[in-house]
Amino acid sequence: MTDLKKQTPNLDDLLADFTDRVLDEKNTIAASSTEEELRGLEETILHLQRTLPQEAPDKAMQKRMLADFRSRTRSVERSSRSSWQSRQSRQRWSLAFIAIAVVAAIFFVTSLSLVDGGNIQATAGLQPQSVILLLIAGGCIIALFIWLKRRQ
Amino acid sequence: MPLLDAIVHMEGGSPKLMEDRISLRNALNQISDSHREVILLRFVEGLQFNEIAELTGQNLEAVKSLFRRAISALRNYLDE
Repeated sequence: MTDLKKQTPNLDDLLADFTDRVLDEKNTIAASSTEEELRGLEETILHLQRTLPQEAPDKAMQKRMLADFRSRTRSVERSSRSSWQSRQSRQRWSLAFIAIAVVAAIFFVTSLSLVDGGNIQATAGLQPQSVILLLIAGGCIIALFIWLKRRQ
Repeated sequence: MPLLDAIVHMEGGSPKLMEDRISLRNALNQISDSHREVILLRFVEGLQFNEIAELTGQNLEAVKSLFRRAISALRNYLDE
């Protein structure tokens, strides 16, 4: 792994240097590397140099190309930003779902505690203890929604 | 891709060169936008690697690495 890390940047530099020599010196340079991969890449560089027109594109084409490139860069930045925002939103909603599930579980357990061995303990209404728990649960849900609204 | 079409239609060169340009254009059309862009910026636009890095907001090593991967991808399509 360490060897790979060391080798890859080296290959990058070697190829970039070779390209600079081919394009800047305007001399006939042959692919010279003994390493098979680099030699193949050098041959592709030479093929590009031979095949692509040597004269620079006109100003209008240069401008068009740079404008196209910049707009593409901006759109990539925009899409990466929006995907980060949607991830944040998803995280918030899953947190809200977990909180509601916890509150529902508390409510369910509280309801079961009203029933003891098949006999309902209180028939005339909810026990004060249960009412307090329900109020807390309701308060939690309201607080959660207020918090979510503020975060958005 | 107007630039690639312009490359093929540029005057001058033997029939073999024109044929090579067409196959190069086809290969350039196959690779990703970022790969094509870095190759064209270096070869056609004539920008140095540090200028490409400045333009794209990347560091020099990242641009050189992208360039190597781009050439490698292009080679694969040229070999097909």
